[in-house]
Amino acid sequence: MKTSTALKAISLVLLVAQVLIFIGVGLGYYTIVQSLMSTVGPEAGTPFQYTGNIDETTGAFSGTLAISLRNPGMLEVLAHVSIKFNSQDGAILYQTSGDRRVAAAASDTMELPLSLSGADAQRISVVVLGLKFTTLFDLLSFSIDVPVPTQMGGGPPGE
Amino acid sequence: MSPGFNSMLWLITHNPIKILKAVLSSIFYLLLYVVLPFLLLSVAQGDPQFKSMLDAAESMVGIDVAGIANTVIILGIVLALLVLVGGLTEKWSATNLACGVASILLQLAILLTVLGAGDIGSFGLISRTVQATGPYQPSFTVDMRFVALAMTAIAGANILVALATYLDARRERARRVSPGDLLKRIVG
Repeated sequence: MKTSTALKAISLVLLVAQVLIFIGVGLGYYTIVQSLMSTVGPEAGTPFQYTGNIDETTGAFSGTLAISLRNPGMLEVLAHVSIKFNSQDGAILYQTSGDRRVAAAASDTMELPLSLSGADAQRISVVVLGLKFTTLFDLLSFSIDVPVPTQMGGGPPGE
Repeated sequence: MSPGFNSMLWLITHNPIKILKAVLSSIFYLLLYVVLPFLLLSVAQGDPQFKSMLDAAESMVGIDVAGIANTVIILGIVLALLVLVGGLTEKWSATNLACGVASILLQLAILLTVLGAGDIGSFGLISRTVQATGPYQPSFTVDMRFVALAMTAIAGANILVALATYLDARRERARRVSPGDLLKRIVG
């Protein structure tokens, strides 16, 4: 094969690789945006459902938080959800997290354990909800951390 | 006069097809990196809803969309000029190689500027805190380092291909030099 022909072939391969990467990124971010909007967007409904016990007198709670994950996109997503209960001084009173792979055009539910003593429950100042969607063979990701201020002594989210 | 300039003069008189291809390539890059961002920015700034979104992006998360578009437009003009000059020169000329390498690097710079939301050094990793009222601010991270890395690798490979094309063209040219030309070169 002539050198110039080989170089043209290599250039073509590189061009195709670029186009495939752009298509992959487009599909990846379409999937991430769709998953994010379907899970916590304005039309998502109530994505967090708490089931468990709450001690009305002390504020202690123990149960699970179910998170509805929806993926209307075109690629599989890896959803990572984290929840932190922080005190006024920034100390982490309790944290939990979980990962779940959701296939394209599917939905799933993730359950996270929640448990806090009455004394710690009284100190909750802010709940930090973390959501991360990763797609395209775990190469692209979008994550968001939303701190939600709570009343002192308030219960877990979803209540 | 430089060999690149001589080859350009030769082209103007002898190879109109090459000129046409160079001009069309240059127009393509002008449309892609100058006209399209300009039109999109004009439309976005003309629409009150988009305008408020652009303003919010700048004030709340520090992403200056108009600044990014202007950077792309400026780099796009330089890129189109480089593509035009490169297209008018022969593959064996150093001007062609320089324009080819510079245009590859400029395209990479444009991509990294867009991926980094204006910060070329972030290499596709955007991490911002939303400036909202209240004591707690949400934050978000967009990770596109894979794209930045892959495109940098492809740009590196493209530069190697441009260099190999230049060396091959020079070798081919040396092989095709007629005995008369060779004699002229030796004599003076």
